[in-house]
Amino acid sequence: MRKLFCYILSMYLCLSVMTRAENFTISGYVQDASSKESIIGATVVDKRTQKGCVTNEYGFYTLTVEAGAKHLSYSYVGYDPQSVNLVLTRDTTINITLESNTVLRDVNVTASQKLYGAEGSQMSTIHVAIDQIKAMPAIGGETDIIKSLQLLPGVQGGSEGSSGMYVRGGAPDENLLLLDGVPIYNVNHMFGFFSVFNADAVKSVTLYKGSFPARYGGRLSSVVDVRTNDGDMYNYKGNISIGLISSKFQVEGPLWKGHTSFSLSGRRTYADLLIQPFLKMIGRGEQMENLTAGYYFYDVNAKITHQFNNNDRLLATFYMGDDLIYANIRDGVSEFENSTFKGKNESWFKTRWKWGNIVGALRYNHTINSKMFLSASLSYTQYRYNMTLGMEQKNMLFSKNTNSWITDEGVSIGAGYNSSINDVSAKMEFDYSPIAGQNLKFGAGYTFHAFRPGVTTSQFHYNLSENQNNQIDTTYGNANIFAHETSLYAEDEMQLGEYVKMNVGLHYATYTVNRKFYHSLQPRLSLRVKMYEGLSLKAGYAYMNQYVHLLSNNNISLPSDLWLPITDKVPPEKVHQASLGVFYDLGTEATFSVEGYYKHTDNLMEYRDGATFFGSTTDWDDKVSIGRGWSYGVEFLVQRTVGKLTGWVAYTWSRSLRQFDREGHVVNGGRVFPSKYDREHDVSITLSYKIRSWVDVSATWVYSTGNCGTLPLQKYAGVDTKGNIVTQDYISNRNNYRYEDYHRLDLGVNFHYHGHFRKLLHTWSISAYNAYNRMNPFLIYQTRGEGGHVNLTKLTIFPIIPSISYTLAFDTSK
Amino acid sequence: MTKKIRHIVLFALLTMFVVGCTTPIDLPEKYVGERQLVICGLITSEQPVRIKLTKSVSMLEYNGSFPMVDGAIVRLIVNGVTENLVQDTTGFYCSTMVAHAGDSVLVWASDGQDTAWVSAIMPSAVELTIDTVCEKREFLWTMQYRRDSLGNYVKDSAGQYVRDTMGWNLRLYYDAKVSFPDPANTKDAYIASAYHFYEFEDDDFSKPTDEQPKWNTVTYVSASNLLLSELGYDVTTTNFTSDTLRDGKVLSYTIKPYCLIDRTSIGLSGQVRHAYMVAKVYHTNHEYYRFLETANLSSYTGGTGFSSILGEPVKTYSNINGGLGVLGVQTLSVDTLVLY
Repeated sequence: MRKLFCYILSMYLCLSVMTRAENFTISGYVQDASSKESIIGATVVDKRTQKGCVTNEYGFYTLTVEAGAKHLSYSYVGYDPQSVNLVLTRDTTINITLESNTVLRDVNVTASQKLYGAEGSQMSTIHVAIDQIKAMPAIGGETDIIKSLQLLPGVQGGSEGSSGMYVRGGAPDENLLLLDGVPIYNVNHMFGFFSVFNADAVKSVTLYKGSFPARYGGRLSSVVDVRTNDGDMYNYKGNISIGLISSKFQVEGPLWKGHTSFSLSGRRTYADLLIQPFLKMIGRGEQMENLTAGYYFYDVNAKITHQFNNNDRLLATFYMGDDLIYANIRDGVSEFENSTFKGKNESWFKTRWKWGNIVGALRYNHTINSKMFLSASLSYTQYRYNMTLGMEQKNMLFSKNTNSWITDEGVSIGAGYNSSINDVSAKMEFDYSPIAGQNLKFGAGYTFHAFRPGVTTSQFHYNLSENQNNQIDTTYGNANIFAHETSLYAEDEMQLGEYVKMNVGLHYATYTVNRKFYHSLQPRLSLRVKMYEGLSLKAGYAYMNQYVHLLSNNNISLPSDLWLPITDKVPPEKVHQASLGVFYDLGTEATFSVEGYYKHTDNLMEYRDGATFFGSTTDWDDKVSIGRGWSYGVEFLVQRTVGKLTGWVAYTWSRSLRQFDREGHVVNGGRVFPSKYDREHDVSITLSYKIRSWVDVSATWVYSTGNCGTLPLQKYAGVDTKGNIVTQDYISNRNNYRYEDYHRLDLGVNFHYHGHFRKLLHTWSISAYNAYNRMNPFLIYQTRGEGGHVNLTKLTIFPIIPSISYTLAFDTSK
Repeated sequence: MTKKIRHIVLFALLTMFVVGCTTPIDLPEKYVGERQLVICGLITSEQPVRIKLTKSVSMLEYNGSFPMVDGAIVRLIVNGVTENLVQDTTGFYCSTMVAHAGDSVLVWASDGQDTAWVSAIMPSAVELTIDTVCEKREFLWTMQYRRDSLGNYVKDSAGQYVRDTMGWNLRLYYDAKVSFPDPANTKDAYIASAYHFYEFEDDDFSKPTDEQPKWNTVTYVSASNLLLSELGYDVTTTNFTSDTLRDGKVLSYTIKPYCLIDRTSIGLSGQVRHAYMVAKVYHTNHEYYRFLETANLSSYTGGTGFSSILGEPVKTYSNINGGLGVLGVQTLSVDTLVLY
C-alpha cells in the first residue's frame, strides 16, 4: 500500500513538472444574467487548446492556460453560450452572465453533462437538475429530492415510500447529506416518507456514489450535496403552493439591489388540522371533554447573500424544521352528589414528541487573486429529539356548605426524554489554479461534536391529603460524549495532454473521542482517458472511513434513532471502493454510461440476533456485531438532458453480501448472507415530455427485486429446562426470504397558464402515485387464523394515491 | 348537509393516506422445504433416558401440535452399549439406562425416510457446597385472643381479654451462598435451583386423638430453574449473560430468600421442627445452553423479524445432525443446608 502510494505521488510530481510552462490565469464568476444567481457546474473551455474547467459550488472558476490568443466559451445547459476572445498577457478576471436560453427555457434539463459525462474526470457522480425533480410525480404531490435520487442507478430506497437511501449496498447512515456544505443528521420527515429538503429552496443536487473527491469525508457510501438558492439580486419572485399534504411558499429578491439578496421558503403539512373534526366526533362518542391529536411537520429555509464587490461575498444560510406528534385527552367522568358534597373525577393525558434539525452557516468567499479562491465557513448543525408525557388524575369534591371545590386527591406523573447531537464546524477551503491544466483544491476543517445520547426526567406527585404529599423529581441519563474531528485534504484536477485527465487527492482525518485518537489517510483517484470525441474510459478508487454510527431500526425511521461515535468495541468502518466505466456522449443532448464497481467494507456493524432497538443508548455496542461486507454491481444509465422529451433510463445489477464470523460477533452462524437491501435487479425509467407550452406530462416506472427478510420456514418441537415440549421457529438463514418484486408507475401532468397578469403563472399539477395500484409489500407479518393456523399477511401502505396541487408563481421581471 | 359532505370528503382523503391495505399471501413452495425429523430430549443423571421424536411442520400448516413419529428406530448408545428404545403410550421413546457423569451418549433415530443423530458427553458432577452467609433468628410466641362461639372476644374476671398461646414460631433470616468449581475444559452452563424444606409438627386439632403426631413436609421454592452462564449471574433475575470460560475457578452465587421461615405467614398451625435449604445444580452441555439462550431471545423479539419490526430475528440453535430439535444432557449435584 505504501509502495503504491509513493509510486502515485512520484508520478504525480513528474506530471506536474512536465506540464509547467509560462501561464496566466483567467478567473471570475459565471452567473445568471437575470437574477445574478451563481451557476454551479458551468463549463469554461479554451477552444483553441480544449483546456477547460467548471465553476465550483459558488459559481467561481479559475483557468490557467498558456499565454497567447484565447477563444473562451462559457456554457451551461439551458443557457445561451457566451464566447470571449482575448490575447492573454497577464492574469485576467472575467465575470460572465449567461442568458437563459429562450428555446430551452421551457424544457426540463437534467444534467451538467460536461462535468460528469464523457468530458469530466469525475465518475460515479450524477447531477440532477431541480427542474427535473419538480416535474416528477410524487406521493401526495409533494416533490422529494431524496426519492428522486432513489431513481438513479446504484441508489435504492428502503421500505416502500421511505426516504432512506442505500447506495451501492451501503446503509442509510453511510450517506453524507449536505445542505450548503453543512451535514444534516436526520433528513427524514414523517418517519422517512419525506425528506427535509424543500425542492423550492434548492438550486442544485449532486450525488457522489464513488471515487469521491478528497474534499469529502466522514461517510462510506455517498455524498449528497444540496445547494440552496442564493436569491435574485434584481427582481422579486416566488410562489405559493397548496397541495393535499402540505402548503408551501418561496420568495426571493433583492434586499439591496445588485448587492444583497434573500431567499425564504417554508412549508407545513396540515393533516393534523383536517383530522380535528373527526377526533371531536370520536371524543364525544367516548364521553371525553377534549380530544386533540395530530401530526405535522414544518420547515423553513432562509438565505441571505451579500456581494461586497467582485471579490468578496458573504452567504448566510439557515434551516429549521421539526416534526411534532401531539395528543391531549381530557376526561370528565364519575360525577356523584349527596346532601353535603358533590364530586367529580377528572383525568388528562398529554404527550408530545418533537424532533428536528437546525442548521446555520456563515460563509465568506474571497477571490484572493486570479489563481486562488477562498471559502471560509462557520457552521452549526443540530438534531434533537424531545418526548414529554404527562398524566394527571384528580378526584374533586365540592362542598355545598362552603360552596367551593376541594381537591381531595390527585396524582400527576410526568416523564421526558431528550437527546441531541450538536456540531460546530469551521472550515477553510481553497481553489488554486497554479499552472495550465491543473486545478488544486485544498483545505482544512475542524468539527466539535457534542453527543447527548439521552436524558430522562420524571416527576411524580401524589397528593392524598394535606398530610400525605409525596413528590419525586428525578433526572438521569447517559453522560454527554464530546468528540473532536479534524480533516485536511488536497486534490488536484490535472489535464495531461488531450486525452488524459485525472483527479488525485488525499484526505486525512482525525477523530478524538473518549481520550482515544483515531486517524486515517484516505487516497482518492479519478482517471479519465478520452478514446475519441464523446467517448471516455474512466476509473476511480476511494478509501473512506466513518467515525459515527446511527442506531436505527432497519424498517422505519424513528425519531429516537441516535447518532453515536465509535467506541472501543465498535471501531471505525472502512471501505475500499473501485469503479470502472465507459461514458459516451450521444450528441449534445444525451449521455450513456456503464459503470462497474466493487466495494469491500470492514468493521461493518450489524445488530446481533435478537437485539431490540428501544433503549439502545446504554451499552449499545454490546448489541452489535462487527464484520465485513461486499457489494458489487454494474450500472447502466441513458440520460437525455435537452429537448421536449427528457429523463433517464437506469438499470442496476448488484449484490450486497455480509459476513460476521469473528469471535464473539457471530451472526447467522458465521455464514455469508445477503444484506436486507440486496436487490439483484433495479430498473427505473423517468420521462418528462413537454407537449405544449402550457402542458407537460411525466411518468416514472420503477422495478426492483424484492427486499430480503427473515422468515421462519417451519416450526418444530424443542424442550425447556423442565423437560416440557416448546414450539420453536426454524430459520434456515438470515434474510432467507425475498419479498415479491417491487414495481409501480407514477404519472403526472402539469398545466400552466398566465391568466390576466403576465407576472403571475398558475400551475395545476395532477398526479397519481402507483397508478396501476400495485400492492407492494411494506411489511410481511404472521397472524393466527382459524384452527391455530399461521397466515402470512402483507401490509401495503401506498396503494394508488391521486393528488392535486395548485401553485401560483410570480416574477416581477416579466 | 354541506358540512357533512365536507366531513365525508375529508375523512376519505385522510383514510387514503393513513390506512394501509393488508393482503394474505401464500408462501411459495421453494420456501417451505421438506419436513425434518426432530429429536428432543433432556437426559439427566437422575432418571432413564426419554426421547421425543416428531416432525417439523410448515409454518403455514402449524396448528399447535407436531406429528408424532411412530414406529421409528431409535437407538441409544451409552459408552458403546446400544439399546433400542421402546415407544410408550405418550409417544416418548424410553430407555432403561441412566446416563451418568462422563458417559458418552449418542442418540440415533430413523423413521425410514430421514435419519438424524446427536451425540453428547454427560457433564461431570460439580462439588457443590451451600452455606449461610448471614443469619438472624427470631423466636416468637404466637398468641391470639380467645373468642366465643359467636365470635365475640372473651374477657376474664378481671375484665382483660383472654389470650391463648398457640406455640412458638421461628423467623429465620439468612443469605445462602452456593459455590462450586468449574471443572470442565469447554464452555459450560449450569441450571440451578434452590428449595426450602420445612418439617413441622402436624397438630391439627381435628385429627383423631389416637394418632401420633406426624412430621409433614412443605416445600417452598425460592429460586427455581435459573440458567446460569459462567459470569456474573444474578439469581434475582432471569437474564442470560454471555458465556465465558472460567475453568477451575470457583463459581458462586448468593440466594436471598424472599420467603422467611415464618409459620404464621404460611398459615400453618404446627410447630416447625426442622428447616433445610437444598441447592441443586445441573451441569449442562453448552449446546443445550445455546438452545435455551436463542429460544429465549427469540421469544423477546416475537420470534422473527416479520412479527416484530423492532427486533432482529433469531435462529434457534439446534445440535441435531440431519434434523432439528435439541438434546440436552445434564448431571445433577445436590447439597443440603440445615437451617434449623
